[in-house]
Amino acid sequence: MKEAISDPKAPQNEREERTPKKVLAANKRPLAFLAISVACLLLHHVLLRAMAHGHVAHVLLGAGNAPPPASAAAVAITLLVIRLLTVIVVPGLLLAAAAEIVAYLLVGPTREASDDPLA
Amino acid sequence: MAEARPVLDEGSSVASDAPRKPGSTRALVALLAFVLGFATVPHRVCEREASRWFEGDPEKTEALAAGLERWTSSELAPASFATGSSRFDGEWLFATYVFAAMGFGQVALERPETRTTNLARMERCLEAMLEPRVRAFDDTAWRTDALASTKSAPGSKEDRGHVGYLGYAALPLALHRLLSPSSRFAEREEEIVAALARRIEASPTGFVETYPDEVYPVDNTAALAALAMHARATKQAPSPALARGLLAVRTKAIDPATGLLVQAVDAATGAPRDAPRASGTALAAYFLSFADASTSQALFDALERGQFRTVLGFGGMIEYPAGHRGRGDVDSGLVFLGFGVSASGFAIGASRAHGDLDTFTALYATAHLFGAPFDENGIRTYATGGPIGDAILFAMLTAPRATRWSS
Repeated sequence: MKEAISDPKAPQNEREERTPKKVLAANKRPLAFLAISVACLLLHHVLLRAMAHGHVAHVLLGAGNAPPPASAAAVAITLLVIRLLTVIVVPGLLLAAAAEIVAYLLVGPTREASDDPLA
Repeated sequence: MAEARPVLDEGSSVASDAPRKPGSTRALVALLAFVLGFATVPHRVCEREASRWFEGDPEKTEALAAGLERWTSSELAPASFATGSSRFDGEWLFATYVFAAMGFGQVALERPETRTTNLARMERCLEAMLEPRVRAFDDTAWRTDALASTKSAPGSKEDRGHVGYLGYAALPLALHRLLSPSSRFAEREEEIVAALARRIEASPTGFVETYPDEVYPVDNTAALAALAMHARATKQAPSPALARGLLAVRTKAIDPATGLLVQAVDAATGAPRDAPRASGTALAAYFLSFADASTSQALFDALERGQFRTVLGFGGMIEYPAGHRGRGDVDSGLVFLGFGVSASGFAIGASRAHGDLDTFTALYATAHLFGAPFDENGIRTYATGGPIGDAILFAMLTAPRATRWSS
């Protein structure tokens, strides 16, 4: 590693050594952010359709004083949670992922990816 | 940063052997980006339709109108709602037809080219609204039929109250008559408006009871809006009851400290019996925009001044003013962290009526976030609202400008 710092050609060598495996290993966190975001978006899309097509709000309102159907209540609660995540958190996650990837492309991994459990 | 500098200065991406803190600059950049996205993107995503609603975009209004048409074409019943009280279930059913009818009427008013379609939709709601099953909640409370009571002898024991049904029913009926002077509902509208005017004039307080010995000023504002719309529809001078009712609202029902409308007053004296609250104030500001723009504006200003808050760009109305505490009920809907669902929803209509785009936009962003709009085949429904949520949002999102009536 000392040699790498003292050798001005080292950075280029380092970049040349970016194998897909190393790139993935160095970008686990932004990839996790992307995966979470995509999962939230997909789940939101599916739940919203289910809620609207099943008239779930209407079913819940129509349950009377009895407990609402468990499936309808589950869909409604899950949609609300996923929607809040999708609208409030996902934009931040996507920006964070993009920022990390840009930082990686500009300056490379700040240290051995394998040393950082989060990287 | 000190450790990172040699790497950046040298244009190197190579890890040095100097000790590095876990997380590093990359994580800090990611965190800053996350905070930036969290704080700036969500409300902008949710408010992007607001200006189109504010301007009365035909595509948006037609999509929600088509969604409401689907709801109101099927037979809704009190069992479609679940407040835990048969009276309130009935009120919600009735309110669904009233607000849907108002929405259709307001769109017909704003876009005359849609008048035929929207009048037909409106008439279905008016017919349903007048059915015995829909007015049963009021009949049960009074043990008399609201519509039959309009034909009772003036000043008789039966000639009182029912403003919770008659006031709300009269407003869309009067709007329909304004849009269609030869309305087949004209006779019914005439009877109801005449009964309301008589009862306001005969009342010792200027208020009419909603239920026996229960007076809610916001219900009276619906009746006052109906009197004003009736005068426009028939091209007659407004009944003296309108001025008397407005005076009662201004002098007895508006809390001098907050400027908000008191939720309930004493039937005999008109003295406050409940706190001033944002839900009643916001709905009254919407109704009074049809009757008295200045009082409506004063109520809306009080809401904006004292109750309006934004969180991350999302707007909402605090249900109870400072110094008052309470829980959510059938009027306020869910109250979460002080924010009232009904107050925030009704304030959308008040802000549109008074041309306040900023407040409208912030409130719409919240409605969009929690309402979860779903569009398919040119039809929009708010997935978490059900029929009453769609109906109220439709009426509020299409509320006409208060200035329309002052010219």
